[in-house]
Amino acid sequence: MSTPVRILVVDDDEAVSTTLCAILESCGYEVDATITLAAARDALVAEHAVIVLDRNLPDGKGEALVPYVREHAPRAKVLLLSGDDVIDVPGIDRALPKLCDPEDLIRTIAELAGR
Amino acid sequence: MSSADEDSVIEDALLLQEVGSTVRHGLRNHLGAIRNATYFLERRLRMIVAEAMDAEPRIAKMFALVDSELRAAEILLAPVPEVHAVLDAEIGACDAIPIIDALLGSIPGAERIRRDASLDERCLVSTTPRLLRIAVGEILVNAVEAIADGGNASIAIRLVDPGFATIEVADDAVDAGVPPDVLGFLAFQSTKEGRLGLGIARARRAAITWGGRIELERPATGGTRVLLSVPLAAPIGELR
Repeated sequence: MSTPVRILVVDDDEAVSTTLCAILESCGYEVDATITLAAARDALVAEHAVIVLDRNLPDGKGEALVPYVREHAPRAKVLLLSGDDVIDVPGIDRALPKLCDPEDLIRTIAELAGR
Repeated sequence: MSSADEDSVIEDALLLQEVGSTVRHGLRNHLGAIRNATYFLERRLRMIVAEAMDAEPRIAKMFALVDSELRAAEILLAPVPEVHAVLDAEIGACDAIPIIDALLGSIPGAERIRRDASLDERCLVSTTPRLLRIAVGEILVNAVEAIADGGNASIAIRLVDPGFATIEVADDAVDAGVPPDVLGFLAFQSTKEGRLGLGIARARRAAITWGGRIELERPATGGTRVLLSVPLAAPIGELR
């Protein structure tokens, strides 16, 4: 049996995080969830294939985590999910609006995870 | 239209953009969670009670209805282009220094803000005088309020960020222990009791409009430092 692909969800909105994790787990991913940048740094492991990152977190902008991800989990891809009007953030691998079609989200994560 | 009226239109447009953006941001979060939840529920129900769903076709219809309503709401959440047009108009090169000096001379209490020597030379930036006046004005008003009961404040221009001038307004006033939270710049979030938090939000929207940003720092030594970046209108060597 193959090892499940691990995903780290970083979002302080409980409803978004809960529903996102439920969808990803139902797709067969192993999902870890945190609500702050500091907790994400603690939770990040090299096995994480995709980091699903909210933009506005209680302790800073989501993109501030990217250099740490590149250093500690160099194979991980970063997907930024944002409710902002314009998502123009350098250094990330992909971005999707918060209100995207879940099918798009699943497809994008599968691509980033190489599935 | 008089210059004051035009200022008022721009201020209203900035506020509309910022408040609209804040509300849209919140709604996208809420609606995104609803869309995720209904998607998950429909998929799981199809796996667990497929026969029951087939026997009651209105269940699938209701899920489709929720999805279609969310798509309709998504369209309504697009920014208003007319407001964009008002704010994007007339961006060009202007000298930041006379604008800052005029503000220091006209805002009550601003004479207490120390003017750094870095403001002694021209600084050509790419924005509109009106937007710059509104943004720097809001920040200076905040600084004046911060030192009302004591303390010092200063304004300087730093050329440390390639392609940008950074207008720095710093004060050493004792703050209320508010963390340097990025959300502090959103409308309706004020660090001051009884305030609506619209002034700095307006400045933030002005910065976004000219392609810059606004940051707030709380140095370990105390006080607050607000950094407003504005694109330079020419390479540094040709600026002054």
